Amino acid sequence: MKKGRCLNLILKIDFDSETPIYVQIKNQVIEGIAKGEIELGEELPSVRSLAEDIGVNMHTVNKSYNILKEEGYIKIDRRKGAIVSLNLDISTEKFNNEFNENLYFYIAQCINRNISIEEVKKKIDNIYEEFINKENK
Amino acid sequence: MDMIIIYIVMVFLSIISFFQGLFVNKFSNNGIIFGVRVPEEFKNDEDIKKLEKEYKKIYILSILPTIFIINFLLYLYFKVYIFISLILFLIVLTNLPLLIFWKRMLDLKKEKKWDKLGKNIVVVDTSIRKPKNKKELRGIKNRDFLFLIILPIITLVITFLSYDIIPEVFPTHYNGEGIPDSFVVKSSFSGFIYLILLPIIQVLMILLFMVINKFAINGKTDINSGSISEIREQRKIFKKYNSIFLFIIALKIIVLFSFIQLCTIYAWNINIISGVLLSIIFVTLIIFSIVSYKIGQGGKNIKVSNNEKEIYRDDDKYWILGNFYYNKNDPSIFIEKRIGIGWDVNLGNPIGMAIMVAPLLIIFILIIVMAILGI
Repeated sequence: MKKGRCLNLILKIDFDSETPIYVQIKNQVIEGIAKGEIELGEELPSVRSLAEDIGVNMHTVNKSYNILKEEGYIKIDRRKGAIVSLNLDISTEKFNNEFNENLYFYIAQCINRNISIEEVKKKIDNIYEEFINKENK
Repeated sequence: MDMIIIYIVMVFLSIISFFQGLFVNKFSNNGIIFGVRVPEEFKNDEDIKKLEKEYKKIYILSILPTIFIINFLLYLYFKVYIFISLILFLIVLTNLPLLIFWKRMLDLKKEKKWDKLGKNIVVVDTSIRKPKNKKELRGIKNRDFLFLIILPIITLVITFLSYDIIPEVFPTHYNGEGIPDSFVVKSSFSGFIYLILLPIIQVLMILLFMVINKFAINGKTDINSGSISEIREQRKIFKKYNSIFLFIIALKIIVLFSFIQLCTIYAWNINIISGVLLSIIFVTLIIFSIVSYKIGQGGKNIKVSNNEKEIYRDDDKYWILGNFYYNKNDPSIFIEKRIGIGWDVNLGNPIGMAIMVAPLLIIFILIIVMAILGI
């Protein structure tokens, strides 16, 4: 990976969203890793400081970090706190199940809405490209 | 107590609170007008300008006479407890016009339907607390504050090296005119305690300053009414200045204490030395105030050119009377002040509440006790 300008992990938490806050935190950390905003071995903010910055209970952030840990995205270091570890093998099966399930459901919706397979593929290509480009910037 | 010092402090505080109240919106955080968050694009709205003009008129007409009356009252009834109560009155009264205009600004915001604007999205830039580039860590680190401990150690060493020179009976307390009015015998146990007391206080003060500095450089950054990189840049400079100020003040107070100890040892005249050092501290405070005014709360006056999107989140509901932060869900103890320069506490946090209430309680008890004693 090229060392370009420093990307920063920026979280945008929507308090009016139907998605629970702990899910938003978890998802955006995963997206941040995919975009290269935070890399392998780097530290996430401490539970306390992230809870302070967002203005939510520490339990909320703890919940996100626990899920990230279970899925293998981070590991808890006694000295440094939460660091990105990408030990994703431990959650492969869970991911595959979820992936199939969600994709199945989305394709069903696409067919109902008459969205063609080409359009779906193009959309996927674009999003994939976006992540890769951001990483190499 | 020295009357002149009290009068000077009273006049000084009067002037400061007068100007702080008069230019209240200049001393507020990004996008805050009379304690209400206003979208950046409407900041120069005609009706707001009118409101600001009216505020200044009412403020000058009501507060200027009040300040004269308060100063005159102190002149008439010169007592320390009256002085402290009058200062409390001064702070409350200079904020009353703001309260009225906070309400009017809220009404205006509702009338113009600005309260419907903005998404309830909190933006967090994790690199503000933990910059990827270590060089970006700003200000004076807590490790550097530890170096100050050399001063109490030197003071202690000097004290014991020159133990024989210390007068057998030395003063432990001075009145307002600098004349000693309480003494202790050197060879007694309490004499020994008095000799090591100041260095111990110095060490405790260094530790206290380190705690404050930790919050000053690592406190919560609220990204609102500005773009991410703009606010990141502004806070970086603001925090840097804050920690430099803290370090200079800490250094001066520690040096002052060392000099007081030396005065005891060598029987120097305490008046000259404390007078010189106090005026130096006084002058630095004025310089710090000017610099703070220049860079503004959170560094908002620092211009950062970029074409990023402004972030706007209406957070009025967390601010009681537009001035006091109350958010039970937020574990923060210290947060950026909304009105005024510096830091404030989160009243929704029990520790924050205690930090706010305890000093007030102590001052009230002090006033009552002093009133009974007639000081």
